[in-house]
Amino acid sequence: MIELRGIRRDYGNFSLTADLQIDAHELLTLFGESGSGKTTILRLIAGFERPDSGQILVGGRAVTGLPPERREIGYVFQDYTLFPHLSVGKNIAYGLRVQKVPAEARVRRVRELLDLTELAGFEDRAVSTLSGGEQQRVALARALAPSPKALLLDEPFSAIDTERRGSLRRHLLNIQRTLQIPTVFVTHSRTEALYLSDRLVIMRDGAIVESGVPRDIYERPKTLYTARFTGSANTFTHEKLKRLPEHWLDGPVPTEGTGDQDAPIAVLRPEKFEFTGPGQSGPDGGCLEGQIRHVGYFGSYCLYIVETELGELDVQEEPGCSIGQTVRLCCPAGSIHLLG
Amino acid sequence: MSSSRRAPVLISVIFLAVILPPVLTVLGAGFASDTAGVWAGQVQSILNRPSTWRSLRFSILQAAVSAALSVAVAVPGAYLMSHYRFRGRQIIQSLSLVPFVMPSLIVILAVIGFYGRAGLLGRLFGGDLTFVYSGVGIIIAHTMFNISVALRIIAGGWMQVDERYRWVSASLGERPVSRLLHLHLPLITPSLVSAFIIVFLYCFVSFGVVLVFGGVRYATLEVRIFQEMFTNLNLTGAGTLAALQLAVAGLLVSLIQYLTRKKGAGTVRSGRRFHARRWNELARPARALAVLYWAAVGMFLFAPLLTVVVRAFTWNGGFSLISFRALFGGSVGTREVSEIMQAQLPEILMTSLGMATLSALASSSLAYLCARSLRDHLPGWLDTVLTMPLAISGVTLSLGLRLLLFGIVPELALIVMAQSVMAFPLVFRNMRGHLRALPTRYLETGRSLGARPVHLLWTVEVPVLWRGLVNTFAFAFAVSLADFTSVLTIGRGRIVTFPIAMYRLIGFQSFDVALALGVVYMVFVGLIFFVVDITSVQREEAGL
Repeated sequence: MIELRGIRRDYGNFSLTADLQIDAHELLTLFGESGSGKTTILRLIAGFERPDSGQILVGGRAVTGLPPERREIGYVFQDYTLFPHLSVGKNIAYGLRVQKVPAEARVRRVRELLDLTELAGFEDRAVSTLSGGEQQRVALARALAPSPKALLLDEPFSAIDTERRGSLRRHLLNIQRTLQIPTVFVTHSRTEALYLSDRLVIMRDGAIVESGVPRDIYERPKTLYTARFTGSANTFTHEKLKRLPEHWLDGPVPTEGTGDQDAPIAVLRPEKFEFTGPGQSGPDGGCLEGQIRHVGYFGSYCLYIVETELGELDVQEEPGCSIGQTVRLCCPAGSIHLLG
Repeated sequence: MSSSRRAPVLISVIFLAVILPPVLTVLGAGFASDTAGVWAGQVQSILNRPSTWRSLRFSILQAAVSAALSVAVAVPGAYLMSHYRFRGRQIIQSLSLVPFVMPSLIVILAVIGFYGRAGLLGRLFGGDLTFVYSGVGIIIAHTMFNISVALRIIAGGWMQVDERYRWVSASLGERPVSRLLHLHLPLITPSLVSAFIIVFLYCFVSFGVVLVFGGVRYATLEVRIFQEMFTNLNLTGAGTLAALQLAVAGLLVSLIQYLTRKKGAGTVRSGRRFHARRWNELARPARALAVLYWAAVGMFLFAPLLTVVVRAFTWNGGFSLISFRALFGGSVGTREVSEIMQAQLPEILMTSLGMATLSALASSSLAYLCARSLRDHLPGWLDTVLTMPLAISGVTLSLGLRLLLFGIVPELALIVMAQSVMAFPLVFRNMRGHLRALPTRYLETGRSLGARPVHLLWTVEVPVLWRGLVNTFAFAFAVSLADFTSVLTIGRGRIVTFPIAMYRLIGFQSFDVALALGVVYMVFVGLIFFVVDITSVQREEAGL
């Protein structure tokens, strides 16, 4: 388990605060815009930077004052950073050599990791001859070789082609499930964040905004920032909410606050909408009428922009409708999520 | 973070602690031994001498002209080096450094041999050429020395300019000439300025060239300090001149920096994306011009040096080894050559080699330590502090070390100290460049795998940086081997290295033997560079 207790780190123009627990078998994703402090948290855990205050514990041991080399935490950088002067095998064996693992055991362990990362046969290759994905797997194998107490991954797939990412992600998941070590993953890819994580931590401006399992975060975000960052979202102000069928909401419309009347207080994901034919009513009655203004084609679905009396709404539906067409929008009860 | 905040302060404190005491000793020299009134009088008499101001004017003038020439000649080369890949690029880069690592005395012999009375140029075009025995000769020699320095700095600056700017400019329809003026020029101004300043300082405090060349009329302040100290035995005079020199150098450099900074020439650090284009992407006429340019620069740098070699093998108009025979145990007239040099050749060789090795070890390992701890954050003020030895003349520093530590520390060690401090600024720059081959992430990865910093040094840093380290070491070695100033100032003739022996031979008018010694020196340095190059390539191929 990794624990961050009351961490503060001040850079003058940016400060970071964090309280966080990562469970023993958990894959936790730090997700947020660039500059939100995701990587800083990784670097603090790894020991590349020291907090101004607070404590970091790994497996119950306080490591706050320890240099990185005494923390036993694996770290994988975005651009692999394989040592250019060492072969694949020697890169993987680097940490074992440091630990003075006997040659025989070292060879065995390197074999294990080559198998685990599906790189068998690559042992003597020069790292410069590998593809991006292969290099990334070597970097992962190297980090895992000394059996670290935790694994930290800083946007490990961002330098890799989109097509290759899928298999690498599955790979990472398999390895993490097999080894069962606490893993922290930094990304700003929404797909990666939702797909990989046991738990998702949303960060903004150096602070943790909220955390939870991906589904909760996606469907019931606490903040507008989270809602928008995890996917596209139609937003509604208090004024607009009152004009919608009440049962669309997942709670009672709050009494008018004193805050900003133009601030959205509820969100609706585009895929919740359904088109219903004219005359037909939705599953629970009550529909919105509108006209299609734009069609974005994504293969298995389309993203329509529909002009309604409440303004433009994003709707994700099957392909088939065209611009100018009049449609009726319905959605199941409780689809609109009230923030907070 | 705290360590990176501390490092600049710590480094500058140590650095100043090494430099300031000797310099202050020279500046305040005479003050301690005389009463204040006598001292002030002496200072005034030095400052009232017209020759002092004449020297100052000449120092500034020749340095400014030499620096402007070096930069102007280097710009096209820097453009080619930084933008195109062509065969021989690496060789040009190495060759251009040759004059810089030659002792000043060889360059002087070369310049005289080529441009001087009865020189090659005179023989080709007829007539009695005498222009070289004036400030012009000094400027020619200085430019020969410093073209490579300017070339390196400017090409380095140009390579930092993100290539995508060019694409953007081209996509907006900008023509190459306009692009050069409006895009490249502002972006490389910082490196042009820093090249100018560094070359200016080198020439401003130049010693050997002026000592042999200038005579009394064309003396720089640097030479005057030396004369005041050792010929006139006037400590106060030497101190006053050193203070004047330091003040003027500091003032001029700050002025240049201020003026260029005001123009808003910020440093460009974005992207660092860079692709050298292929040679044949250059239009045919431009290619011809480029070849012509390299040929001209090559002639300028090497034709004089070649005359050194040719002359060393010539006697009475024909090929002869007579100068070499004299050098290896012969005599000139009635005097043994070893007697003129005041040392045997093997002894000179050993002394030169030993001291240069020690100095290079000291300066390159110091440079490595500094460059490494400052790699992410080099504040502007610290860059200035670390460049200071360029502005503090070699004579002043050496003199100060001698005054301060003579009798306490052996002369050899003092010379090594002076040499490594003097070489530091360029060695440091060199090292910083090489360090880019090893991003911090590599070290962090190593540490996250459990390697301690010392372990990382041997398993990652040294192997990855091997070529760069060897390269920097070789550079520091060559610079120290060529050093004339500190050996002469501290050793006072008791310690004989190549340049000192050459100086004595020239003083005795045995130019031919001096030329032969010059050839031996060139072969010697060439051999060392060759060995260093071969071994570093072999090591790299062996994956070490």
